[in-house]
Amino acid sequence: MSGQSLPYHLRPHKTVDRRLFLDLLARFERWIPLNNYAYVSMGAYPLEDHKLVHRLIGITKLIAFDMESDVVARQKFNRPIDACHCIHREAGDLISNFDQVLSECNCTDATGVVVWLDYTDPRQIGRQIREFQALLDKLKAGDIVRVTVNAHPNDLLDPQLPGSKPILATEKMEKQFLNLKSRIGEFLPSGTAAANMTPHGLPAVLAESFSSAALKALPVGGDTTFCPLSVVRYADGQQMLSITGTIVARADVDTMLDRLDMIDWPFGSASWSEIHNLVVPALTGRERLFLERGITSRPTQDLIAELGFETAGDVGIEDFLASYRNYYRFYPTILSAEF
Amino acid sequence: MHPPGKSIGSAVASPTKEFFVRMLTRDIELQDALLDLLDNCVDGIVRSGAAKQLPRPYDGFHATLTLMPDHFVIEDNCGGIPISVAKKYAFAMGRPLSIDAGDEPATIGMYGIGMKRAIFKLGTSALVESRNDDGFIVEFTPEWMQDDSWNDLPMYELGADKLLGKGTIVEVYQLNEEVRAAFSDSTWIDEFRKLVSRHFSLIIAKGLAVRIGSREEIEKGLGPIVPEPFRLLQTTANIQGAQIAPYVYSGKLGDVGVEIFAGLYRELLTEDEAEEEEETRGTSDEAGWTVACNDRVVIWKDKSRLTGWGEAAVPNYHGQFIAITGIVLLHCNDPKKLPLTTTKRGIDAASNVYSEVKDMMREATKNLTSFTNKWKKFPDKLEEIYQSSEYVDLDALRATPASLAMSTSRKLSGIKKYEPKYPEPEQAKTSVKVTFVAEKVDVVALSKFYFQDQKTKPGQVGEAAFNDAVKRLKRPKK
Repeated sequence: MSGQSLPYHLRPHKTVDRRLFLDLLARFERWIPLNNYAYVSMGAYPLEDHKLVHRLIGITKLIAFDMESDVVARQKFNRPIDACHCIHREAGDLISNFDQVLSECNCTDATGVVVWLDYTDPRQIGRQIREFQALLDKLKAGDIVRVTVNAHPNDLLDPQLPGSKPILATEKMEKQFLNLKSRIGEFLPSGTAAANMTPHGLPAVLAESFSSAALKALPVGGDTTFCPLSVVRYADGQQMLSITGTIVARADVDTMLDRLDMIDWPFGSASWSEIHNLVVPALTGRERLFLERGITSRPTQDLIAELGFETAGDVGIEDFLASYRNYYRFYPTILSAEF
Repeated sequence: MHPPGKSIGSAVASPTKEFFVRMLTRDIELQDALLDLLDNCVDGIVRSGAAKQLPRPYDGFHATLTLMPDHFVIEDNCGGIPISVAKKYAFAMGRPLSIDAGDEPATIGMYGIGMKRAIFKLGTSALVESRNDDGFIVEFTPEWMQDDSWNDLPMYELGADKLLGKGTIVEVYQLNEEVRAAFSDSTWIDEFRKLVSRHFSLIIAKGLAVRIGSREEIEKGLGPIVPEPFRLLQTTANIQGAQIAPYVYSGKLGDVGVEIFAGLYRELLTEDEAEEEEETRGTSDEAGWTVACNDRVVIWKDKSRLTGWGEAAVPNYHGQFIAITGIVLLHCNDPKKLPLTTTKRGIDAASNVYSEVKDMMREATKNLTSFTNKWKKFPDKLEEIYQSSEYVDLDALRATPASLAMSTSRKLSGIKKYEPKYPEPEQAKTSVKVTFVAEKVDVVALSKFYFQDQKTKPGQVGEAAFNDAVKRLKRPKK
């Protein structure tokens, strides 16, 4: 089942990942207040993230963009406030004309920007990394960038035709590696091999590739660097990788990280290689309420014993609880409702 | 000639050390300065006569670079520096004219400046320990670095238990600010590994083991760098004798040995892919020319005028030519005759040797661009040709001149060449390309009509509509 084919409000991992992003933004305000920032994101048709940054952080300078004019029309209908600008542009085009876009959307007086590049197409990964690099070229200290990309090894190959001969896993991984190499070439970390084409290995390779792009945009000889704050992988069907970080003066990195107290934030990443796996199985209302009450005080084994089952769907409860303990506050409640 | 008048003393004309160090290091990047140290390792093997038989003369030799925020170490077992060389000129600023390098085997270093320049680039305190015959230590102190006098450097005896395998250790402390920032950044270190995997690809493939990392990574058993391979596609010849195969040039220009291999490393782009490539650079990292002097890669995958693109009859590089790549291997015992620059990243474009080599590179590039231009309209048919293709690696390519029917170059008598006959599309004689712009809504409407799918590619929709019109036109009239 493809995550992209699910309606937005039924993607629990994406929902939690988005809420973690909002939690990180709230924490970032310990360093710089965000209320006068501009928020620039694709947002898709529901503009969920625009709604949340407006409601929870108070940002009013909102810009949404999409390459499909139909989606932009729908964004305009769904925008949380009238001042939210919905524009018809591709990501690359928006980045190339970033200052002009901010000007057209009356955001030139914003003290900084938060940009979320929410990509989906695995075939365009090379272009996505280059756009990330191009974006960093345009930003200044204090700006925040979040990028989400497909990190599902199987998506590096075209789907096999029904009835065709199955390919050996090793052969498949070799082809996946060659495809990835041809797509992201110069950004690929040294020593990457076919063996890295796993759900665990591919996000690490991609994160290092983005790190390489960040270094090309902001070389070590410069005053600023891109500091990763949180690197998370999750799967609503296909596995995705979300990287969030900020541009900061090299001299201020340690002070900023201390101020944000990133060590204590469970989804914080001290480096590009520290990748958190977000596991969000579907829980019933009864299970959720039970776990929420005990998760901060009771040992995992007690909770499992009382639940009386060790897997939910294809997820082991122990693995799930290790992750859930860190994000239970954001677990979405999905109900069918009559309006 | 002496001017008239009585001598009244002398005016200081020697460079200040601060000026010398600044000028020496400002035009070289940190990465290139480190590559200079690796060059010294290779030259050490060559000079000591310890190189083994081809194809892996450097088997058993290693160089390990430890990059830490507060210090740097390179350690090798590549032969070390003879004590007499150390005393006479290894630590002098430039190789004295009296030292003739002409009789040495093919090395890369020629100016005698690499190690000193690297030390100056890295920091202000260094120790060089080496053993070839009698082991020694040379010390660079911060005081010496700051002092304007050019006093000789102090030498000390090396402990009898150190560097028994004949090698050198260069340790640098009190690193400069840029160096500290670079060595604190694991991504910078990985970028440097990638650079080494390219610029030392031929040398590593011949056996030298290079490890680069933090102390912790090296102690944990970090593996050696894997070289970037060079390979070209080759197909079997069809009935007309046409095939996809490398262009080969081989021979001598004066004292310089020349080998050139050029061809295709991947399938050509489809029209859609080429269009996208024009919009945003995508996957062309592997295209372009690589040039190596005495196995040291000095130009990696270049697509500019430096390697003949956009010169004479050769078109400028663009996405359509993504599959074209080539390598030039130049060899000479006297590195001064090679078109090397002092930083060894780039080439002395004014050199006569390179000018003649570039003529051959352009000839191969021009033929390959013509081939891709002829086929870009017929990618479907080209796929059939590619189906029987296989890769040929560099070792196999270098063996090909012996088996190919090489012809002598008309202009350069020392060079023999092989120009394969590439297949030509039969349809080119009878077909013509049709392109036009249409309203999106009309394309969607036709897409639904012909394919019951509104997302079919516009080109396919246009082709279906065209074929339909032709079919109706040719239908016998009732």
